[in-house]
Amino acid sequence: MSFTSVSFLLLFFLVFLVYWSPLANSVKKQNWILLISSYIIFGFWAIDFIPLLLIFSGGNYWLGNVIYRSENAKVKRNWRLVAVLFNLTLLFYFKYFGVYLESMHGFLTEIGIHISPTWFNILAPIGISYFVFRALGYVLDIYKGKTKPLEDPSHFFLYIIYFPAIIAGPIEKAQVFYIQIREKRTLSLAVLELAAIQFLWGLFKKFVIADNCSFFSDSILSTPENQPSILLLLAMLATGIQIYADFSGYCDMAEALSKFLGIRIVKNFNYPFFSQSIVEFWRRWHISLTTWLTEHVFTPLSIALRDYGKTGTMIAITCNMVICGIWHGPNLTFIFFGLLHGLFFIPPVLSGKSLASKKSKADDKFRFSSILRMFGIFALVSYTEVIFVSESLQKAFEFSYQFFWAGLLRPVEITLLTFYTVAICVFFIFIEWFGRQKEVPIFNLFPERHFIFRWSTYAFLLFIIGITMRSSLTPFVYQQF
Amino acid sequence: MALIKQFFGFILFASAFYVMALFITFYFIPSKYTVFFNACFGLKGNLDLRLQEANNYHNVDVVFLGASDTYRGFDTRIFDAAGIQAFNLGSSVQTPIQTEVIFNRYFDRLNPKVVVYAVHPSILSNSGTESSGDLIFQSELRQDLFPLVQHQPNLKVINTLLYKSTLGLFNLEVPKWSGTTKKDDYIKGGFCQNIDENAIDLMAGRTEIIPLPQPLDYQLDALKNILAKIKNKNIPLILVMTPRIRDNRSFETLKPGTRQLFEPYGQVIFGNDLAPFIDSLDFYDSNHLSQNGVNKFNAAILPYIQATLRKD
Repeated sequence: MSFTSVSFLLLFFLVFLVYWSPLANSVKKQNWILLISSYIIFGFWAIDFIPLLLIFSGGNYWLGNVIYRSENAKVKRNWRLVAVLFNLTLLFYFKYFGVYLESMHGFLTEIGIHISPTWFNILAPIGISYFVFRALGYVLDIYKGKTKPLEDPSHFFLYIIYFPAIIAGPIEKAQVFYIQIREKRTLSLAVLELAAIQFLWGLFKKFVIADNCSFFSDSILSTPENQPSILLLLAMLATGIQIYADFSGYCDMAEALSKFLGIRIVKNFNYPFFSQSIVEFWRRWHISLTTWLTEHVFTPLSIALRDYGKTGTMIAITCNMVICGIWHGPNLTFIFFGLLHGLFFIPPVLSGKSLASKKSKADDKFRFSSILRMFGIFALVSYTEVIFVSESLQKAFEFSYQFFWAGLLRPVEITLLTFYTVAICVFFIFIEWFGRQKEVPIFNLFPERHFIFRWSTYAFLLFIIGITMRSSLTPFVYQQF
Repeated sequence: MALIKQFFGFILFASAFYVMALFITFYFIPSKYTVFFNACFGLKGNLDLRLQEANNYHNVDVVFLGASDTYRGFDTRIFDAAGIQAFNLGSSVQTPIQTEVIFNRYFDRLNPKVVVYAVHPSILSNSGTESSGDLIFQSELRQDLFPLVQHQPNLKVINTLLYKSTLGLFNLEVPKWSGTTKKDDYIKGGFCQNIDENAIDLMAGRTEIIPLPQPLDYQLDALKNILAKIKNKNIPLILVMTPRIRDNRSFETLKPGTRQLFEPYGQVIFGNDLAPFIDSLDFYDSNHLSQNGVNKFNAAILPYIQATLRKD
């Protein structure tokens, strides 16, 4: 039951009606409705994992309290270690242990230990990487004294399982979420319109842009050895747009669903493909994960390595990015993706360009040099996205060989599918560029116009979705993590 | 109150916009540029001509039902020559839900003495989206098409129905997509003769065995409805699996699979058992006979049909 399925939307509508009905006339009642409905919706995805999730939430809530109450620094540190092991063991077991066993199978058989292949197929609960990082961030923030434990355990349970963010994030901070759920929420026509349009824009990104780009790039990248470099370049850029539109489309829908409930969740994307440097890109891409890793991996590492100057910073960044890659799963392609991004950070570190600069360059005036830089970063990131989605490193290398060498002189045949994909991508980039100053680009193209202009735009988006979405519903890419 | 008013106002506006935009897009943009859009402008096989012609037939001896292997596999000229008046109601990728619509529309008029139904496991596992679009686009718009949308709330089927309805509303002629008639000669009685005998066989030589697909409930229900209606009218039924190439290992799973799925409803005649078919001569692709193969197959099945007609 995905966000885009009719059954989910009907269920959400029911929750929405009850949530805003006179029955739920207090914040407490609304929170309980959210908690119960989140467990029900999670149950539709993975009912078998509900007991695990309850134990997991209870365990982390208890650990947070124990760490907070510990007065002795050593005891506090030890409890932190327990919390880290508790969370990472769960994550490693579900995400990596099966693959580890499979890779060790040959060796174990040789030494006389026989393992049934069924052991390799460990089914992970949906959203595990996200809720483990949420819980771990919570206990680590308590350890660092950045936050206090939540008083009401139900608030923590809701923080872990809050359904708009359970499948693929964002990885919200507990305190930010808590501020939202303890206050009275209101519903206005303007917010509802914004939420509806954001949801529609998310649907458009997923069904029209991501799925069609995926269809095109799959058709080219499945047989890179037969393709000319120009087509591989287009497929590579389409892959970049696909991953962005898929994940940010999901995030738009999650944000919109949350807005319908009067709760704002953290923004996960800020037009990353208009970045002019890799540093800026990572400030705009999967913001909640980047922030989490910066706080809990990069900062402690760079402090530990501060005596080594720029080399220490480079090691810290590379480790951070490799962990970012591994977070996605145990594939070599993810590790290589992380490693490459770590390496991309080396020039800015060596040149002494500040990593801390927060100025948003995408807001600069339209200049040719800016456009060139944006395209360069877009192409570079798209190249790593091809590695990211490749079946194996070998496939990624086959692509690279053909793209950079063997396909250079191959004749190009532009098909209708190529033209069609380029057209929808150009349309998408155009809308994002002109709406980039605002939260939902399409909403702000006609903010002050007559309602007919706005309604026509929304109806046009619905029409484009209706005629171009692929017949089978494809899952969100980041849902698998 | 304002919210509800706005909500329903927008729904009405967006629906009208959608239908208008659909009409403008599909009517004015040449279909070769809209092939990636969700709509069906007809499949190969000249279904429109077949259904128009069916209106001129009454009380025939044999009716053929089934997918493309039907309208390409039973040559009405051969049956005519044998003194049997036959009509072929096959259409591309026809699955039981479309067969039921066609059956209900034309059966009383055609009033056959024998029904030959070409079966294959895939007709029960195929969602029927393409064929529903084909039937909606190429047949007269009537209420009986709406259940097709109910079975498949699929944008391709819905858009085709909306577009066809708009054309009907403005009394406009249905534009024909050139891809539907290419390389086919339509023969009186519903047969389609493929004039591109050099088609490439994509399936030949494949080594993997395709597992038997799981039948869909609504297809099984439609099949049962059709067969029950035939039985109620006391019309003899012949279930046939038309010949398939042997140079394809999935053929090995087809026979037991077809038996398992269809023999509860009657004995299935396997075309491959009727005559020695040669892959390179008698087929133009894995599922369709060449004219040489059609002649051979029809000559072989003719005695079965004649015997059934005599019994009747």
